[in-house]
Amino acid sequence: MSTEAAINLEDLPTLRQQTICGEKVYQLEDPTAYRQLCERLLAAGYDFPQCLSGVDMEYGLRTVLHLRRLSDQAELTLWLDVPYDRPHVPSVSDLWGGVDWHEREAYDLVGIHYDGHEDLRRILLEDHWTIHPLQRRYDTGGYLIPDWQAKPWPDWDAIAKEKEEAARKAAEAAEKRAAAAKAKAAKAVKPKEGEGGAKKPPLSEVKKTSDQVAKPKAAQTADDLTKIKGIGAHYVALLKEQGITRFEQLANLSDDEAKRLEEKMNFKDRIAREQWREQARALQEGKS
Amino acid sequence: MSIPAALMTGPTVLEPVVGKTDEMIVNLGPQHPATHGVLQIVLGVDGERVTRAVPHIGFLHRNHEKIEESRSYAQVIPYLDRMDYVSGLQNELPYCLAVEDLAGLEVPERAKYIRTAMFEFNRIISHLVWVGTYMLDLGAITPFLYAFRDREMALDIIERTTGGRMLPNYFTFGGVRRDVHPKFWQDLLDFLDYFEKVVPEYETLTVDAPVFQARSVGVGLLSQELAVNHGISGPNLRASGVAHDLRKDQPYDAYPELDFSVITRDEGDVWARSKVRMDEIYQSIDLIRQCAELAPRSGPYLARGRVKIEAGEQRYRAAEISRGQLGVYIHSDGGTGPYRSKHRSPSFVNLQIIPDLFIGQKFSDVIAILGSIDIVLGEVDR
Repeated sequence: MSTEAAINLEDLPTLRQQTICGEKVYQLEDPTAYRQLCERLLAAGYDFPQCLSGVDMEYGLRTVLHLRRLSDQAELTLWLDVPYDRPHVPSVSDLWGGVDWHEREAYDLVGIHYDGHEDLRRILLEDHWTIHPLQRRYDTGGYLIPDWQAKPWPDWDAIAKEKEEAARKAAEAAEKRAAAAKAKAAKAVKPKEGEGGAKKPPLSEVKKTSDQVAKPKAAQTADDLTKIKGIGAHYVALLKEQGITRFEQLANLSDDEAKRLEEKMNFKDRIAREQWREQARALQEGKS
Repeated sequence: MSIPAALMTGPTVLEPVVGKTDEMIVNLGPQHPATHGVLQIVLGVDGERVTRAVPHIGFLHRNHEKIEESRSYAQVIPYLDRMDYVSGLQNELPYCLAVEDLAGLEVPERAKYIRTAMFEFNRIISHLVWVGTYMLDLGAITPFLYAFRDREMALDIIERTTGGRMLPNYFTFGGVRRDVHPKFWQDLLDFLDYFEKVVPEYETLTVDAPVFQARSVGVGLLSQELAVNHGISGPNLRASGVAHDLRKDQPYDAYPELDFSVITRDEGDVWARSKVRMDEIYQSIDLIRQCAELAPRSGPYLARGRVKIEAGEQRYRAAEISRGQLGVYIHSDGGTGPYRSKHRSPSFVNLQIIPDLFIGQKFSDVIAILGSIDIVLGEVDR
């Protein structure tokens, strides 16, 4: 059983999970839930505070916390968005001493107030400074940008839906193009007809799906390999080059094949160490 | 709840406590050679014992992060050199790794080895500056002269390839900016052959010297739990018995191919931190030799590609520089430059620990402890 499962996430309001660039991100909007989640993460062994940053998102202020678990080097990211008119975030400097100065810095430069911090003073700028320079409403000279307007608070449900929709559309377009390419190959005499059949997707989609077009069969049944611990977006791309896109393929690798793969892709016995094949088998069984 | 006005204007001066013996307030810095830059520490001293310590930073603050908001991805790199001016090359790497991850750039094999060798070479230079200035703090002038003599030779090798001595602006995303000097690898090996013979001299003058041991053994103890909880990294963490090294735990560039083990010590005192750095010099020599052996001598040194990062993408990447974990957090809005880039500089985090280390110690040990943390103020204040 992984420790990930042991963290109770059920009762935390506004919690969203996503994977960006192969990294797990917990997104929150409720400050109390942020504090609760932090306490649970510390209990789950996330003992090393890597970084805490403040980001002005133009609709509000975001605290980004990066944690690491030294026992297995697992990394995790937390986002907490708070509105401009109430920039209060519970401090976690009592849980991890290492975020103490990071919180002071985020208060100093971005203007997020960390409630419960025992010494929340400006740290880099002088004590009498009046502005928070990393807010987007100030230019590099520290002057207010005259017609600066805050953006509306984003509708995260709609954004998630949109993302899903875009992914689905891209996959569809890839399928269409693959079919068109097939038709084109079949009707080699009349090459123009097949091409006219599929609508040319916008440039961004072509870029996204060009890999899938090259291997249409794999694209239809590709699994989300990032579910396997140890595989990130980068390795997914590498594996795809070698023609591996499904759990089944990974699970059925023989020792020799795995070794060859490792040599080709500079993995250096990662497959065995991180148990990719076993994980893939489990995921494959869970799927079918 | 708003912040009380008292917190907005901090106490830069401590009020002395009147008791059996009156507490004395001592200002260490901001203009003091042993603070390696402009750092002010307000110390409360009762006789020989330190009772309170309040560090004040920000005297060198330039707000790189605001400047970088209006720069393109490539234009950010020269600013990184200026954070930690003792190991400029090392500062560029985490940022390059993060941009490569976000843009999906693949670094050519040869560039990986060049970067790794340069990275380790810079570690030697950085540790040389540390050993020289630290010993100077403690009253020994000879190691400083030795260290800067050797550092000069090392900087010449870097200059021959990059054109810069301390501010090289050499790494870039996708590889390195230009090819190495034709004699680069030979220069490196020649230097290491010479340097390997003089490192024992440094050891004789520092970790093996009875005078130094008398000032360092058992001083400034940092426990394992405290170090991890405070996010301490680098030799400071490894000297407290935690085998955490990103070169091993999250390998980047050519490190997966190299054979080395993480150096740790269990003592957690000033001497252990010094010893770990000394051992790391030997380790770096070994790693550079491995790089020189394995590196391809021809092939591309830079991946050609467009850097296009989608809106909403974000990445935190870190590398193990000579002072610890240097991390970069990049948030993209789809533009030509970072929407927000935050630098997690190791000295900034390591410096937080000083009140814990100072309180209860002898006043004369303050400088010995401060120097053993190995801080560069340019990096603390950014």
